[in-house]
Amino acid sequence: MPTILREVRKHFRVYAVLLRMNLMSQMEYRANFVTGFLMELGYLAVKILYVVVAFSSGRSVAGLSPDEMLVFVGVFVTSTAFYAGIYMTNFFQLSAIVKDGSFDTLMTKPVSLQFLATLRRNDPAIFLVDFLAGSAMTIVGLSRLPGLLEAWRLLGYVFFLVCGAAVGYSLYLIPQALVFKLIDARAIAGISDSFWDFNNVPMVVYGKVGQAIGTYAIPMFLIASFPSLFALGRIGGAQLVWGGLAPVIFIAISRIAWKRGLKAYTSATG
Amino acid sequence: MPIIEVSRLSRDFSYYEKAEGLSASLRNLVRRKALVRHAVSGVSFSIEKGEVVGFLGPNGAGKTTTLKMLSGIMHPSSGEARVLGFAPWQRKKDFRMRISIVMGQRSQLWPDLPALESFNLNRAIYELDRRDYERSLGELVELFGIRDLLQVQVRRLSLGERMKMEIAAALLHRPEVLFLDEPTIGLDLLSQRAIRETVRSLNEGRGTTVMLTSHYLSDIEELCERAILINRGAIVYDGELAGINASLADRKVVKLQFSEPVVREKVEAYGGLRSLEGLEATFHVDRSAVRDFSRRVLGELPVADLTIEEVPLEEGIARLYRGEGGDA
Amino acid sequence: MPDRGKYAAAFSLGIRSALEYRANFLFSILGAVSPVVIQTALWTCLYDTGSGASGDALFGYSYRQMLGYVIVANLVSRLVRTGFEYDVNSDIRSGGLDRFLVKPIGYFGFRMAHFAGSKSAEGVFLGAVLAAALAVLSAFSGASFGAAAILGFVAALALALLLNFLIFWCVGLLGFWLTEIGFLFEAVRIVAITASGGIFPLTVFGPALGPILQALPFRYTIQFPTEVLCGRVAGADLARGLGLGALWAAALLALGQAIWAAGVKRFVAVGS
Repeated sequence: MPTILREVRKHFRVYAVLLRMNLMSQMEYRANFVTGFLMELGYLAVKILYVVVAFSSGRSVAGLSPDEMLVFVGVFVTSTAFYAGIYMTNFFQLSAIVKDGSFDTLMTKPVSLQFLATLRRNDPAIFLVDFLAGSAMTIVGLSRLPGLLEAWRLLGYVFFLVCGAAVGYSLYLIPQALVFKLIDARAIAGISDSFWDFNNVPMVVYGKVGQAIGTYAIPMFLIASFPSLFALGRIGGAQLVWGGLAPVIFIAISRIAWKRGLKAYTSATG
Repeated sequence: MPIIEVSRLSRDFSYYEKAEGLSASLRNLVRRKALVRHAVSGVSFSIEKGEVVGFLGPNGAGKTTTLKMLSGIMHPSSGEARVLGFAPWQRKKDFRMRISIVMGQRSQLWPDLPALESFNLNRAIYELDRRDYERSLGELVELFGIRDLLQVQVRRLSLGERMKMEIAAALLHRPEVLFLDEPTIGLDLLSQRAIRETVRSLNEGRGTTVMLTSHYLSDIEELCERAILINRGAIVYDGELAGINASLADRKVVKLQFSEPVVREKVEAYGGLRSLEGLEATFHVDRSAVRDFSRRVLGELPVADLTIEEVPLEEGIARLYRGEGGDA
Repeated sequence: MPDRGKYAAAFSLGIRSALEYRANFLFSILGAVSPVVIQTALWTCLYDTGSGASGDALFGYSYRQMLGYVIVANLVSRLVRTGFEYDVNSDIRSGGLDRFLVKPIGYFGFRMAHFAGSKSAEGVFLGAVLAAALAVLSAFSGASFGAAAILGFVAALALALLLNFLIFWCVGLLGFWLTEIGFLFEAVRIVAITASGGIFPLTVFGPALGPILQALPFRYTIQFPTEVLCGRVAGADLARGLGLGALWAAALLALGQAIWAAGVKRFVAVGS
């Protein structure tokens, strides 16, 4: 037991060093800082566009009020901060570092390879755009809805947000375990991107079957819909349980997938 | 007990035939042919603690593949290996804490930051406490003469300086075994020399076991007493560098300087002529026949000067690659 | 006069690289599935007024028309997508541009021929997917796609490819001035796709912004071919659209040449 704790503490320490190095490294490329910011702003605009279109149509989306939609978008955007700011770059770079050999060097370090390969790089500029814009939208929306801005609710919301981020992580990792065999990880990451994109609209839009698939089979709705349903006080009992359980299950699956993929890589590539 | 033990290690790669031309590309869409390449075939050797061993061979000989198997990056297809008592491909944490690998032309240092930052990352990764880290860093700075380079952005360093920093970063945690894969590749002569100095001082200073691959003979000549020659996946020679020539010392090089031009046919008649340019002729003569040969040419040809030399190491090695020469 | 054979070689190279990265292309097609599903779900939800019927038109499209738009626009969006701007950037970075400054074939010609080649290969496959999608649409919504519409579509598609190529040619050349450019490409791409009607038809942008966007060249990369195929734009409108699009192409071509000239001057003077 103490060994595991020591290892976890060590990984936190290494992550702290990596955070600092990433920040310093990116300060070097001011152009990148700015264009990364702009790119994320672009994606943010598209997310907001979905909601704006829903409004200008004059119809309602499954009975959600404008303020509730605002909360929903805000939650989705905040969630995207974790994805885009913390693990996105790593997944898109994975096949590049395999090809140029840096992956091999990482393999010889006495730190979790999965940790290094998926969390090594992070993007503070992108994280900030999404986290600030998203949190602002969520808080504004919640404040306009009676009685929703409570401490315990916010805590629970954060909990489900983190669970959603963990599920998102595994949805990226599981397909990537195939990367060791295929040419380009970007295409695979593109598929996981589409899982993420399903959260552009609240899950109620997809009907009963769609919601079931997106909750239990490929739990992409846990990323945005669950945290916002919780914040809005609209979450059901079964969803509460699954919301806490699914991340554990899927992180475990992604770990297994990673190990399988690694074994294939070290045994079979040429 | 040897620190590295390798027994009949083999590694095969399967790959697809690459298509040439448009019609072949289209055909490949439907069906591709799988081929097998034997990168490493039944390689065996052992290395004792503190040795500096050179792994020499042409490109594609299997050097890097062997190194990858010994550092845990790759699984072998068959055979066994033990490094520090571990099977490398199990990648146990204790194993990874005690070894280090540096691959030429690949960098683990972050290019936009000073090397010191990457060193700091290694400190966290290898769990060094402050005192150990600073002592180790201090030693390496002295040894390699890199004090002024610590705060410079890695991408602003010259290739040679960068490689020094790479090796320093790899040594912070005092690994017992250091794998160096083509460390001088792509470097200019001065940098190559500097790296060799570095590796030499490292072994003398800390007694680190070093396994070094290269296709540059000079790397091996200057650093290693022992060389393992590998060609097409198999070991061709394993022993002292000087021994390569000993095993091939059945021949010597005889150089003649003539005082006046000699007809070519007359020179060729003695056998073993390698080159004849102007007034200089070079022969390869069997060791046992050198005395007689020298007596005859001195008596029969207008020789102004005669020198007898060893066959150069390169040629000895080249002959070993080709499979000629004495016992390995 | 540049050697014809070299353009043919670049074209063939484009085909081969498209074939080699076929897995990539397959995944990008699969990537079109999710926007179609998301948008279809959204529109189905919005058009459903509770009375069960498909409701009135929204943003100028009936429910069936909107579904048709969603499917066709997303597929067209994939087809006209570029990626060569990354290659242009790396050629500039690595100095690989040098050999093109000396050879008789211009870099522009090379890139265009390569793009045409890879798009031809992709187009065959995507054409099949599109045909299947249209068959499904006809069966489901009774929409029909006449020969005139299809011919007009081919012309509009060619124009769309040309325009998208020119747009991203100009963007790619920014590599002469900016070192790290990956994010910028993606930022431009997401804005371009949105402004092209690749997510929603441009009418959703309202009476003020909508017409402005309709006038820009982006419209001709996705929305225009889509509307032609769906029969919303035909005859005189079609001809006028093609003409305006061609004018934009000429303008972008001129812009591209100007940027190239300035960039090469800088490149030669400063190095990469």
